[in-house]
Amino acid sequence: MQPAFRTEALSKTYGEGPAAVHALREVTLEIPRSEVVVLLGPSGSGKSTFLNIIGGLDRPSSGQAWFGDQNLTEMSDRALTQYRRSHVGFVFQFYNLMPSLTARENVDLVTEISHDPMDAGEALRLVGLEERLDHFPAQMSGGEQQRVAIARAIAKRPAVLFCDEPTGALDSTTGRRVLQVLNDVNRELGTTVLIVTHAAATAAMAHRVLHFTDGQLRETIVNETRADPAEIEW
Amino acid sequence: MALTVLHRKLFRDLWRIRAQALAISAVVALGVMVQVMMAGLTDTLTVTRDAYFERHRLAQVFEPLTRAPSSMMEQVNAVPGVLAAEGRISGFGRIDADGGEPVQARILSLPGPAGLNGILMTAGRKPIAGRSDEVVLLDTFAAARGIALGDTLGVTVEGRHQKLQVVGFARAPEFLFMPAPGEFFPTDGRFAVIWMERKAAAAVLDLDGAFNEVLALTTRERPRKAVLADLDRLMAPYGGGAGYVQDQQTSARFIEEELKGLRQSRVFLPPIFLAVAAFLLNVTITRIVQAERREIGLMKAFGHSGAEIAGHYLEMALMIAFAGALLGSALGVMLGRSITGLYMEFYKFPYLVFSMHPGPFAGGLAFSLLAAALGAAIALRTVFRLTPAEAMRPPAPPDFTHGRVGFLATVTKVFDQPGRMILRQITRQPVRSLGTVAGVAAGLALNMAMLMIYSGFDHTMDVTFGFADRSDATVSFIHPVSRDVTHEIAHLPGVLEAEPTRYVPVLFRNGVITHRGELTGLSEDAQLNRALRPDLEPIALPAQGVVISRGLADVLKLQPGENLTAEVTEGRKRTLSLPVAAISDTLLGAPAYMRLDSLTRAVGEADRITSVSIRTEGAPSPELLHELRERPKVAGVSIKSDSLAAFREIADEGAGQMRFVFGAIAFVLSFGIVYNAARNAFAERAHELASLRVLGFTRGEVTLILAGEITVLVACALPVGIWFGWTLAKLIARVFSNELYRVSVSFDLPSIAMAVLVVVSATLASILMLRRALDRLNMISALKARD
Repeated sequence: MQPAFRTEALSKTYGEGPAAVHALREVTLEIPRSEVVVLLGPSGSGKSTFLNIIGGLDRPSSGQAWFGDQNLTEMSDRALTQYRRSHVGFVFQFYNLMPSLTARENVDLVTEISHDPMDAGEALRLVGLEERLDHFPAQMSGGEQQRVAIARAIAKRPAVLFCDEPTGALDSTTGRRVLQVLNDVNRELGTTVLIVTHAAATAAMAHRVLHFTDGQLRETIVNETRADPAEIEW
Repeated sequence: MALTVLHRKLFRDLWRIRAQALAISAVVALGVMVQVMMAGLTDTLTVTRDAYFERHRLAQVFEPLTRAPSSMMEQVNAVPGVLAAEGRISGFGRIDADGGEPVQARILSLPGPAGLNGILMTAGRKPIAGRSDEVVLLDTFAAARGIALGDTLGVTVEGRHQKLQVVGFARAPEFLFMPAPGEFFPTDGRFAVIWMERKAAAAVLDLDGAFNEVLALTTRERPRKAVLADLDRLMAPYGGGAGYVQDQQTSARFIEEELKGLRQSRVFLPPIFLAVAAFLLNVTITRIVQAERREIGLMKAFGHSGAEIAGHYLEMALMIAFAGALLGSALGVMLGRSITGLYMEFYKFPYLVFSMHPGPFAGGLAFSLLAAALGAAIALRTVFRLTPAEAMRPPAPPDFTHGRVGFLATVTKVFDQPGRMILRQITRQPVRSLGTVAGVAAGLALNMAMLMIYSGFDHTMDVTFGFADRSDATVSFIHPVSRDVTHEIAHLPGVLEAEPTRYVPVLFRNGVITHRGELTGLSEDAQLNRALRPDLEPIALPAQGVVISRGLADVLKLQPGENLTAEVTEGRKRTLSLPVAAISDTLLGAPAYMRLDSLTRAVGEADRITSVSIRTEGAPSPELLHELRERPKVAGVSIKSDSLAAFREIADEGAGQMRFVFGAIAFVLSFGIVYNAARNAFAERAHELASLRVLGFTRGEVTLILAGEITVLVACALPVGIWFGWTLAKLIARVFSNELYRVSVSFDLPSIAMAVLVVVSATLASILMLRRALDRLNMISALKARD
């Protein structure tokens, strides 16, 4: 089976000359479909930069990246927008919900521009928020807001879900709940889930763990057995 | 003094928001500019007028009479309150330019030893004593007619042809604004004054050893009106008794009316701009304080007091206002000078005493700083309330629960998610949204009202010269002539129709209110000169009574059915009591129409007329003008198309410049408001917009969401602005209308369209600038930021 993503010598440099920062150095890898992949590493290790590039939010300085057989590095701005619109879901540390829209409306924001979306209520039910459909972000806890963000990301039935520090702003109980939801999405919808995190314990729930240091991929670990998110301690 | 760190932050912050700061400064500048400009204009006009009147000793009391012996001047000088007096010789003649139409000219004796109604020589010299053929000519007439020093004028006075040599050109305060007799607007080539040696003037006007007008300056101790009453009594046996004071003199009165209008607009215009500026600063500072919560928390944690930090943001607002006030002062002086120049030209002031008191600058500066401080102060209350710990935590998401119930909930259901976001954003901060709507509406209204006033002027011209006065030319006579002359003129070459008119100078009176004017007698079946109803249909003149114009009705506070008293100031000086039959919608002047036969009967004269209106085949031909020149009783011929064209030229120049100025003002105001609103919305919601981009919304779609909010607000502002503009136009029309000229406004679609276009283009310009900012929006950094 064709992998979800493939990269070749992917590099990203900010600035020029002596002041240049090498955020990503020649990363070559493959990410199979329908896996939960955790990207680990300290701050500045390049994991977020890597996620941004394959998520279509940023462009590499050199190297290539493919989504299936589509070369992301050769896409126009318009094509990248279309890629994000059709194939990719994002979950961020600070939720990024529209405060002026209710939970259901935040999800509908995406379903209105998607081809074959699931019903907003269905997406919110998947994250356990069927009781909070008509609540505004201001009326919800952080964990609930993050679950709305996940519902919004999965409602368009994306092939891939990108999660940048999804539990970073949450306490451990709420964080475990969010990870559980991500795990369910992967299991029930077959969505490839990429999670960038500081929290090493999260690695236990992954099919595959990618360790980043100084902009380089240092190690790839394939877990023989995966832990249930409910058992993760951090 | 070393710059504190806070000051450095201040300058960097100002640089960061420079586009917004500039837009707000521009609005402040407009307010101060209008203030300074209007102040400069009114001060300069007032001071110049006063200086001109005083230097040339313009009489404070005028007493025209038929004829009095020179010895009477002794008694005039003995009247209590008379400081200086002079008996001058005044009459009319006719200048016969070769081939052109005859022009009626005022003939005056040169100022005597007391120097009253002095003249300002602009070229050449005064006549040499004893040279009765040398004259001084009004310079504006000479320039318009291409008459040079040394030229000879053919002048007919009292039926006698004279050859007079022009040896000098002059101007006089008495003739700043003087329409030719029987005309409404002053046109240089249509109004002439000839000054002659006293003896020469007396000779041509048959006034040897006599005078026919008293000019007097009065002492401060005695009111002018009291002096006038004494003179009226003294001169009654000599055909006097209908004198007037300086305020009622045409030239002086017109300038005073104009100044009155300018003073009023000076009061109500600037506050609009300053209120808008205060609002913009309030919204912007609120937004900056919100965005800098963390910094504020930090500064508080480091030990800065709430007042110190509030002072920092207050300084920002004050600097923006200060820059605007400086710019506005400079622009105001520049524009004031240029517009003052236009006025000078229009009123024929020979010199300009440019006057600029420090008051308007200081006032403009003080008021703009006050407006800024007020706008900022309301925003800065939050700074005092924030505790450091609270400030350093991200704020809770803004609460939109207001949109869940009631009317709004029903309405929002109709829209898609972006539509709902727009609607809820607008309704969540109703005060801010209303302020934006009000500000944009104010800009629109101001521009629209001014455009309406200018097109109202065109309307006045169209109604007056298309419906009320449909003649092509008017032939006027020096003294009343037999009505039969009408038939004679009707048979001249090229004349299609001829109608008689009789003007009788009167003093209108209603109780204590008086007004100098004239009764206009028209033939029963008049077609060329008509009184009109508001729907432009002619009013049939009643056999008894008078139809008065709206202007006169307003001045005298008269209603149909009431009685108008008219004291005739010539001939037998009868006092008439005339029932007001109807009020006509006359826009120029303040006429009172009567049937010719009843008017002549009332004044106790045979059927005599003072002018004949004619309609001609094409323009009046040289043959026709030649025939008229051959008739010594003809005082002058005014050709409507000529005088109209000449006046339009002057008016269009002024109106053109003012249209441009107000268009620019409306654009800057609308742009300032719209751009600020859009910029603030963008700054507050940058990461929302970035999220949308990440979710797969295109740049166009995101621009639409951001532009949607401002577009909805502008769309709301349009009808409000149109309504407000219409109200404002009517108000301005009322303020500027007087008995000389009524400003008429109609719901003029081109004016509305133009004003709307300015607002829409200002909106588009700000959306385009925003689009550039959106294109530079960095999705990743926006998303990493906290809510």
